[in-house]
Amino acid sequence: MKRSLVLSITLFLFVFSIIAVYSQETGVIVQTRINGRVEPYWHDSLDSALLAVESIAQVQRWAGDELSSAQLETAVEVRPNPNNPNRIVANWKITLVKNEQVLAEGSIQGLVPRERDLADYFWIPLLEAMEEAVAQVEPEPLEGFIVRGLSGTRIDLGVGDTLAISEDGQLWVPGTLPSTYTIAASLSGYYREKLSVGIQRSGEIVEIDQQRLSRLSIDLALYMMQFPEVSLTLRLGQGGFARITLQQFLAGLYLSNERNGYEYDPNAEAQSIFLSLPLIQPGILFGAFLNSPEKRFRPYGGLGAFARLVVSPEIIGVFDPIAPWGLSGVIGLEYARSRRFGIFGELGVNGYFPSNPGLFAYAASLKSDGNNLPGLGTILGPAVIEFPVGRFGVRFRL
Amino acid sequence: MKNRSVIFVLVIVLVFSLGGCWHPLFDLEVSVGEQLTQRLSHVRSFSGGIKQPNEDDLEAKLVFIPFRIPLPSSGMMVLLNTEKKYLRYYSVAYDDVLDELDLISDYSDGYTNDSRLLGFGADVSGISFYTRTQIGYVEGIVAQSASGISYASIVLPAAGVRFASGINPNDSSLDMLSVADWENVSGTLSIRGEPFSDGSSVNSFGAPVSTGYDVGTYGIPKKGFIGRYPGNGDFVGSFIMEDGSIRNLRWTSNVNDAVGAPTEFVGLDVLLTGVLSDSQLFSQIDGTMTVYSSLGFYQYTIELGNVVFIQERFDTANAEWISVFTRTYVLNNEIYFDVFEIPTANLEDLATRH
Repeated sequence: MKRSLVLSITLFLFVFSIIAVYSQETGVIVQTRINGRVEPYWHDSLDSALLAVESIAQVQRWAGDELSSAQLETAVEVRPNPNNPNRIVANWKITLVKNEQVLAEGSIQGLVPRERDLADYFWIPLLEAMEEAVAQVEPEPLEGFIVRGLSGTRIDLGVGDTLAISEDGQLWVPGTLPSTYTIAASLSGYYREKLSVGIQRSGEIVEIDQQRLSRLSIDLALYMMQFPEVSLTLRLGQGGFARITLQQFLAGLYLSNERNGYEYDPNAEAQSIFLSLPLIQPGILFGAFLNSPEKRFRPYGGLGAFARLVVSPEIIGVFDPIAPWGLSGVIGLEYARSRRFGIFGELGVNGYFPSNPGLFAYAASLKSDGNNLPGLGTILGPAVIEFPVGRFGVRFRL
Repeated sequence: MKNRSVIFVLVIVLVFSLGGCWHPLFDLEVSVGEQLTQRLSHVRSFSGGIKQPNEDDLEAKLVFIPFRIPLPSSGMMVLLNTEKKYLRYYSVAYDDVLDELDLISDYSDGYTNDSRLLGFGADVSGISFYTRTQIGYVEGIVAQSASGISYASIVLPAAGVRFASGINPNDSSLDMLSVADWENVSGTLSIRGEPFSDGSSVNSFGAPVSTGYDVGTYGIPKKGFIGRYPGNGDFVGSFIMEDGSIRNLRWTSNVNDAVGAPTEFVGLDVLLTGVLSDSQLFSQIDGTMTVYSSLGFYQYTIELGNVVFIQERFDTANAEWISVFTRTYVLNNEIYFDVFEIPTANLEDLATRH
C-alpha cells in the first residue's frame, strides 16, 4: 500500500512535470548523469525527483558529447563500499554547464537503496542542494537549435547580444519554434557567413561552413597600363594588409611616337612599342580595406614607401643617386569575382625627395612629352609629387 | 550596387586613359650625372634670369663654359641645336644683387648647314671658339670679356678644307695657336699643322704662322680632333675617315720639318676629343669620358651622364691643374648651370671602370 502510494505520487509528479514543460515557455533544464553499476530505476528516480524541484522545467539524460541545452548538470558516481557489499557510496556534484562551475557537491552513503528508497528519501540531500542551485540560474526558453561551427565564432541572430560557439564547436540557441532564423557567423580570420535557416523542431542542428580568409594574395598588374608588375600581399587581421610590390620598368609598353625630347621625328619609321629603363622600384605598402571581406566591391587605401634601384653598370651601387626612395599613397577598388579571384584598379600619388628637385623634375620633363613642364611631376618644396599614377590588374588569393 | 559598378568602371577608364605614353620620373643620364657631381666639389650654381631662347631650341643641347677662374661668375653658354644644325653663343654673367643670371649678348651663326663647334678655349676673362659653318670656312668667335662677344671670321686654305679643330684646352692662356686642318690634294690627305697667332686680337685670325705639311695618305676624314700635348707641343690627331675607320696619329711639333710618317696609335679605335694637362688623352662621347695614356693605352672610364667635362684651369694657389665640369638644364623654360671641379690628379677617383 505504502509502495503504491509512493509510486502514485511519483507518477503524478512526473506527469505534472511533463505538462509543466509544455505549458511554460521558460525554465531551467537539468542534465543528469549517473556513473556506476546501477539499475535503470536509479535514473528514473533521479529524473523524477529533480522534476519536482520548482523552476526545473526539463530533465535531460547525458548523451555523450552531444550538445545539451541544459543549464545545470547533476553528476552522480555510485560505487559499492569496499568493506561491505551491502552498502554503497554515491558522490554527487551540481555544476553550471556553461562554465563547469561547481555549485554544490556531496556524498550519500548507506545501504544499497531499494527502488522505493530512491523514490522516497535517497536523493533528499541532492535535491536540497539543487533548490539552491536553481535559484542561481536564469530560466531560458526551452526550445531551440544547435549551431555547429568553429570555436569562438560569434553568432548574430539580429536581435540581442551575439553568442559564441563553445570550444566543443557547438552552440545551443534557444528560441521559438518553428521559425526561420537568419544567422550571421563571424570569426576573425574567416569570412563572415550569413545564412537563413528554417528550424522545425527543437534540437535541429545547423552546420556553418566557414571559409578561412586567405593569408596571402598575389597581384598581377599593369602600372600605368604599361609596365607589368607583381605584388605579394599579406593579410593583417580582418581587413589590414601589407603589400610588397616589385615595380619594374625594365620591360613595358610605350605607345608614343616620341622617345625623348631629342629624338622626336614624325617622319621616322614606326618605333618600337616597347620601352626598357634600368629602374626597379621594390616597395612596401600598409593599408586596409574599408569593408568586410565577403563584399563584392571593396574599397581600400594604403600608405607605403619604395626604393629606386638602378640596374646599370654606369651606377655605382644600386640606389638612384638623385632620388633613392619615395613615398606612395593609393586608393583602390577591388571587384571580387569570387573569394579567390578579383580585379582591381588603383589611383595613387608618389612623393620623391630628390637631392635636386629641379633637376629631378627636369629629368621627367625630358621624357614626358618634350615639354619643359614635367608631365606628371610637380615640385612642392623639397619634394616632387607625381600624380596621378594608376595600376590595374587581377588578384589571386591563395 | 549599381552605383558602385559605375564608379569602378570610371576608375578603370581613368587608369586606362593615363596609360600608354607615360614615362616614370627617371632619366639614367641625370642619375649618372648626379652620381658624379656628388663626388665633385661644387663651385657654384646659376639660375634665374635667362629663359630658354626660343621654341626651336627646346630640343637643343646647352653647354655652359665658365671662365678659367676659381669662382666664375661669368661665362659663355653654347646652344647646340643638333636638329637644326646651328650654334648660338650667349655671354652671361651672374648678378649677385639680383641673384640671377644676366644675358650680356648673344650671337648666332645662323641657320647654316652642318654647323659644328670645333673647339673652344677659355682664360680668366675670355673664351674663344672655333666653329665651322660650311665646308671650307672656319670662324672664330672671341669673347674677350663677359661684356660682349667679338666676332671674326677666318678662312682656312680654301682648297678642299673639310675640317679644322684644335684649341689646346689646357693652356692657361687664351691659346688659339693649335688650329690644324687638312686638305685633300690629289686624293692624298695632307694634315696641316697650322698654328695661328695668339687670338687676343681679332685681327690676328687668318694669319697662320707656318705652312702645312703632309703627314701621309690616310684618306679623307669626315670628323675629328686635333690637339697638342702640353709638354713638347707635339700634335695628336684623331679622325673618323669616310669609310668609317678611325685613325689616331701623333706627330712632331716641329712644323718646319716635313713629317712623312707620323706615329699611329695601334689598336686605339675611338675618337679622341681632348688632351689633359698630364698628357693623358681622353674621349668624351655620349656621356662617357674614357681616359688613355699619352701613348693611347686605355686607363679608365668616367660616366658623366648629363655632366660635361669642359676644360682644365690652373690653380696658382696650389700649383695644380683642376678639371672643370658643368651641368646645364632647363626647368620651366628657365636655364640652370652648375659648375663642379676636381683636381686633375684625382680624376681617376671618379672612374667607374678600369
